[in-house]
Amino acid sequence: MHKRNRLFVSIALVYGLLGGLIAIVRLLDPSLIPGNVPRAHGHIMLLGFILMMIYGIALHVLPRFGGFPLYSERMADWQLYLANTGLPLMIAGWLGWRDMLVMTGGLFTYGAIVLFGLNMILTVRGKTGA
Amino acid sequence: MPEKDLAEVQRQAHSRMAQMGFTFSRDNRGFIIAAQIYLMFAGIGLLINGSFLADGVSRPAFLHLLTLGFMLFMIYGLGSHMLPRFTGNPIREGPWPWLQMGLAHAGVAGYVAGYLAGWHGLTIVGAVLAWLSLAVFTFRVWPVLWPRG
Repeated sequence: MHKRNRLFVSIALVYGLLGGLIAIVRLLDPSLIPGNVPRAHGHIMLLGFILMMIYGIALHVLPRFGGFPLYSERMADWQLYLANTGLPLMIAGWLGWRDMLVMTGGLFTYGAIVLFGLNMILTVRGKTGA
Repeated sequence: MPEKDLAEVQRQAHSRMAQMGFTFSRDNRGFIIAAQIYLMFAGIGLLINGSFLADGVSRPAFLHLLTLGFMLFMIYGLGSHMLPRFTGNPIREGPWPWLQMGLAHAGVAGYVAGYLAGWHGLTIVGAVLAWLSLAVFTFRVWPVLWPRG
């Protein structure tokens, strides 16, 4: 399994633990963590845990199931960088009430989503790599 | 092919797949089955509220039946089965998967019951147990992803 894909899965686990911890602290005392904690928790779990886990597993299995090599390793590398720049910015934005950070982080996250989507489509269709 | 012969062929094929490690272990089979049951429970929220995101006191209960009960259990079952095969590294077995499963079941049940009954303490206990199950899963999977040496 490619190191980048193992990183995606590992980071997903870290985000899962972090998102759960934030929710538990919020349940114990809602005033302990400032900002929009439910929204941060929801996105850490969905974008951080579930989506990163899917990224890691899909980048490994879809080329194999599709019968063609991954279209672009470079796109997948940039997907890792963008996804892990975007989500921390979004979290910082929600916890600090900074809409600009949420928007910027959202753009990075969306960039990762587009790179993944295109890479997977071109991989499964069997186009020659970039 | 006669039905009796077909059943025998199927049994032999299943046995070969089990010996090759293709098929689920008992613990992973349990995670996958439980995920489907939690999904069906979560669906009751759609019938009652009309949406997983509808306003109401039962919203967190049904939403987390979907996310903790279905999604997390699917990740547990599929992750524990696939990641060792993708990497060629063994996963921690023995009592660990059963501890993880017990914590996850108690966590989901406690969290959901706590919300539905309005018992905040039970909700917190359930959340902590569910979190601990994820910690155990991480402990089991980490050496699969990053083996020593």
